[in-house]
Amino acid sequence: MSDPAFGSHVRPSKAQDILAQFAELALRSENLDEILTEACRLVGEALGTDLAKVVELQADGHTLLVRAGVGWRPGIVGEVTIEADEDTSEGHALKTRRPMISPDIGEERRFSYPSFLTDHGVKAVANVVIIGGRDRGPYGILQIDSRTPRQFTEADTAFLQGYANLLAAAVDRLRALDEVRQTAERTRLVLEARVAERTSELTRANELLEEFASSISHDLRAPLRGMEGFARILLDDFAPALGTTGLHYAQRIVAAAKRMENLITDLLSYSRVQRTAVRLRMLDPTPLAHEAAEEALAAAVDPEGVDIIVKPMPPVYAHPVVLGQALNNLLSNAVKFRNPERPSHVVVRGQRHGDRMRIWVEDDGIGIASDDFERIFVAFERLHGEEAYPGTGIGLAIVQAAALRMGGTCGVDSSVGHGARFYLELGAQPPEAAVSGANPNDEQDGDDSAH
Amino acid sequence: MILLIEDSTDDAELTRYAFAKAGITVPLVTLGDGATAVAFFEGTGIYADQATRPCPALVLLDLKLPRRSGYDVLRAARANAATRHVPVVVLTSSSREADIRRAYEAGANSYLVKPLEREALLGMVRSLDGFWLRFNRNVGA
Repeated sequence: MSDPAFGSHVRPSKAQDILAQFAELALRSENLDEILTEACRLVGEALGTDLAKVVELQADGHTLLVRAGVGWRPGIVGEVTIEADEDTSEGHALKTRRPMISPDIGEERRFSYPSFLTDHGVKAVANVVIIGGRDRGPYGILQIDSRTPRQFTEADTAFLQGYANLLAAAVDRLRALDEVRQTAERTRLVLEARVAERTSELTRANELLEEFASSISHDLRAPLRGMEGFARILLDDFAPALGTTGLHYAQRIVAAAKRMENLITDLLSYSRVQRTAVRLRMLDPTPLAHEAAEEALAAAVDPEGVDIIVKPMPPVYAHPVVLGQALNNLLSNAVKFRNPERPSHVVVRGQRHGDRMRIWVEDDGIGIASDDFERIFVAFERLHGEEAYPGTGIGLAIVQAAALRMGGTCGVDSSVGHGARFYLELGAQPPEAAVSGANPNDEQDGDDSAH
Repeated sequence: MILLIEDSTDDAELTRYAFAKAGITVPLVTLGDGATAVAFFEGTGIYADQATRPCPALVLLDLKLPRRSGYDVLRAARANAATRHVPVVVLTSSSREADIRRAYEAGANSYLVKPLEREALLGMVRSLDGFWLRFNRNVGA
């Protein structure tokens, strides 16, 4: 079939060798330029020519960009475009999807050729379409250029067709990979934008709440200063005119103002605990419990005979300020709701429970009926009159909010007259460590496992 | 004189009472809104032709004022050569870090949070008297 006048055609063994080499690269590489350039080099080697190129069909459907090639002078690859018109062999190849051979372009009457081909001394061209993948148009054309007129044999075109199909498969694989990456990247960007938007909305909402809380505390406190101040003046400077009953009422105004002040302070810290963004870390709760115990005793109305024992505790996953506030409230309650008839003992201890840690605050005070266990954690719920046990009813609500903010829970076990045992249950390790964490059944006392 | 810039008549009355209780005899002048206070320091409006208006020995300044804020008043005081060094003590109910920072940045000499209890207010006024009116030395005093 080959015409010896136009030189040698591809030898079958050489062709198989080249195909194998190219297939290996086409499967391994994730770099389209590398695959295309190697495709040109190897096909040239197979066909004994030093010029080959891949032209890529652009989105407009008729412009072909010289995407890769070997043997070309600078300024061709990546820059020159060819129009796939009726009068070009490229246009014809794309239209018929069949290999299009021009054995001698000097003799070719059907088509015109770009000037850079003649500049390079090209005499013969073979066009083989690189098909697209499923649901896609052709990717472009593999072009083998020869500096001598050349008849391509049937064996040559069969080889080229197979070679181009292998190239098409590699191109398709990379384009699919690229699309997946682009989709993933777009999705990531969309999600990031959404998260950023939400975060800024939340930050703004939080700032508004902070301003609101601050303005409330300012505006509510202003009239309180008036009530308290003027009632005190009455007590100091107008006592004779007021008489005993009048003085008593003035004192009631002062006391009411003081309660209101406490309410505002507690409400503010409640709202702050609920809103504050907390970054949790592993920390030792023992020194925080010691500090809270000291504060609770210092603030107590009747600290006489109260003994607080803080046992060493294992570390917890918590926020120091929030945990300190919760411990302070629990210990203040333990001291406040003591049995006034006898000395009081309060114990703070840790209990490891799998990947959780319970901090127990146990007292031997007046206790709580089990019917009331839920109510006591609700803001403004109080079990006792202001006279017997002064308070705002927000303390345990703060404890619960604090526990929730730290990814934990809280609870109580008690009965009337037999003291109360409150617990804060928090992570004993950071969440990621907890996945592969300890056996949840292995229970141990903080006292024993301590450090 | 001591200039008290305070919009709450209750707070102004209580402060006046505390000053009297503490035995402070320096006259206390009250300005009830921010715009009037700014005009005082700028020497504009009703204070335009009072070239000889007295320079206060001490300014007590609330931050939350009608029409112009306490920060504006502070800046006006600092912008005027005659009052640039007047001690200005902020007396407000806000204990927000942001407010404290802003006040010092606008040129406050001290920042006090209004105490709720009268005893605490009396103690504060006595300290003000001792520190700013007796011990402290000021430019041109």
